[in-house]
Amino acid sequence: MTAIHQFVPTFASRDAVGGHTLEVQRTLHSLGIASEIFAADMTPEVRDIAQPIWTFVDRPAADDTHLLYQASTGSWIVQLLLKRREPMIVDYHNITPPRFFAPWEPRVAAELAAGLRQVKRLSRRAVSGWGDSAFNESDLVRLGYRRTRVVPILFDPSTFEREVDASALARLEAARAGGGSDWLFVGRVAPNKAQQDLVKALAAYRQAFDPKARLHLVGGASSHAYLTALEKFVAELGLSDAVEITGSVSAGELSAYYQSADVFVCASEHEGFCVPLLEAMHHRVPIVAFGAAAVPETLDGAGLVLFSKAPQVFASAVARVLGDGGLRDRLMDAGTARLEDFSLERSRASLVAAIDEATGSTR
Amino acid sequence: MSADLRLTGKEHRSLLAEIESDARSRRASGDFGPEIDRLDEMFSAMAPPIVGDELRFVLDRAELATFVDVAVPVASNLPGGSFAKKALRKGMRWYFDYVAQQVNEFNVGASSAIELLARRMEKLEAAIPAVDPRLLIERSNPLPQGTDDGWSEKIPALLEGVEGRVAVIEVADEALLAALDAAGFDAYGVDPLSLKRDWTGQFEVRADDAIGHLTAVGPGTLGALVLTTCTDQLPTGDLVELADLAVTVVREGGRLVVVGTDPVAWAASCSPVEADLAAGHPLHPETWQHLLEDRRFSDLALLPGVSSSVVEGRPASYAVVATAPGLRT
Repeated sequence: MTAIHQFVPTFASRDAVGGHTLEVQRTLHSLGIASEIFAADMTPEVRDIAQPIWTFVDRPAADDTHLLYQASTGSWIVQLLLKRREPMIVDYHNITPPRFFAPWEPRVAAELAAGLRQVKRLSRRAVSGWGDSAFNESDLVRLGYRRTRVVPILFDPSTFEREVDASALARLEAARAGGGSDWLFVGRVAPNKAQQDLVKALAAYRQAFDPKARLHLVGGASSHAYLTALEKFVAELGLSDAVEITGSVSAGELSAYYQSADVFVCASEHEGFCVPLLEAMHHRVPIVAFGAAAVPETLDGAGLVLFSKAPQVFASAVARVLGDGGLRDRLMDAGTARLEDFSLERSRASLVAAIDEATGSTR
Repeated sequence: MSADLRLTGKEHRSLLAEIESDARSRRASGDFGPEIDRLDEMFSAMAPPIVGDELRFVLDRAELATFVDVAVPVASNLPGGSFAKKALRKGMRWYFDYVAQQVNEFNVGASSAIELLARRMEKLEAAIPAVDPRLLIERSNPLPQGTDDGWSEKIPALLEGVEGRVAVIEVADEALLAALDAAGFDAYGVDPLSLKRDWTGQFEVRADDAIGHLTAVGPGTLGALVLTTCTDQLPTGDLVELADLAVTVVREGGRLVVVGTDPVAWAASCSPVEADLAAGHPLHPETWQHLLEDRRFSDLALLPGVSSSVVEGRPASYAVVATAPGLRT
């Protein structure tokens, strides 16, 4: 094996798939395997690292080369890849099922459906399908992949250590001085993330436990219609002063939110992995999460997983975690330990084993 | 991860039972007001129509986008820009008209075909009460009870040799969970009305609906699955989906037990209005056997209810027992 080239629909160093792609390239280079990154679209900071996809189109196929497609959305790249004769590996980071978006953003739902169809089409050509969780792997099995395995997402936990935005932290601390606990969720405002269920839980929590509690929903919006409904819901509940929908924030602001949070809450109904859970563990924020999709697997006992979304149950669970010091400390310690399972060293070892299996190498 | 740090399954279950018990008692005492129960409804009112009108909503939007407009806007901030754009538009019009006409013809054809399909589907929905929300009636019994009929005593023996967790969906009462617990099974229950029921608090019961729960459970994570209560109340499509989900969630060699009321006995137990307009009906045991065979379940067995009466020559309740094929077979 002399080369494994990677293909990414949109390459950005700051997102989880972009970071993973870069780490995969580093690992391949360390093994003496050539690896270039090709993307349909890329952000300015990675233009020296990646190449536009069209530069690959006319390259003759090489016998000792594999193509590694990082699948996280639909892309016309797939049409090009299907024309190639090199063996292909699909690294699947999950595509949100269209049903979540269909009522809110029909166009996005159609794009997601197209993306899933592409991943299915690739199953006929792929020598191996990798999922970054057992949940994602099971998607691949359903989509017809014969050889699958879990290859954890590669990321450097030290990237969670960022300089805190002092003014954001001061603002959050000033609010805390007035009393009330701070709930945090980080993730795009999207129907599958079900932020409305967190708002319901907060309403119940304020009624029964802590009338000054606040909820911070951090992340840009994937659906304007859903965001609008969420804002309206918050306003109608009279929670506009208690629920903050931040939109996209800088890395320093994000650190400030983690630093000032009492609990990380997650009501997502579909997550292929959920990196923010690991970031919460890194910042020693206890986690209360609804147990859907890959969330229980990512937490693996390092958070309180709920199987009910009833606002009363969610609120009581948060009250229990915040009111029981022993439980809270244990969840935080378990989170710190769980994070070690995703150390770069371990994840790289899994990746190397997966590469050997896919390419038939006996290292 | 160090095993002594994370919550063990037993600790987790006991913690959840305490939390749900706390939530129930606070709900009963009024700490959680009745308006909290209406939050789902309140948010749904702000969401786009999801059931029934969704197709019409999407079709209307699609129809608006059917025609390609070749009258490109020519406004410009640059001096002379507008004039240049206008000239270009005029010069290119013959070309864009030709292309747009073909695109429009295709769009109109596709949109008309979908409209015809939509009308046929609306007729179909009107003919099948289970998929038409207008015809759904509230269950006459707001807290439906399970079809026990002696199954609590019999099911533990049917699961002999099963390893791993056993899920009972929907629980309705705790008798079966108690019997499974006494027989040494690691069992838990799921019941969408859990918060409204008066549990003893001794067993883990999750407040969730059957399909929602099984969709969230990881592949191959259950040693056995017992479907009961919901089997008498869900629409046919949902029951078929439960059979599909059972293939995924029950590990290879695990057991599936479907407990149901015979349709004849079920109809005899309902009021005429409820029987005619109920959202869901139980299936004949033969139908479950067919569904499970079709999904490669093996060792199928049909067992009659233990103590129940016989209605029109058929036992009032039944259990279909089968061995799961696992996801990859």
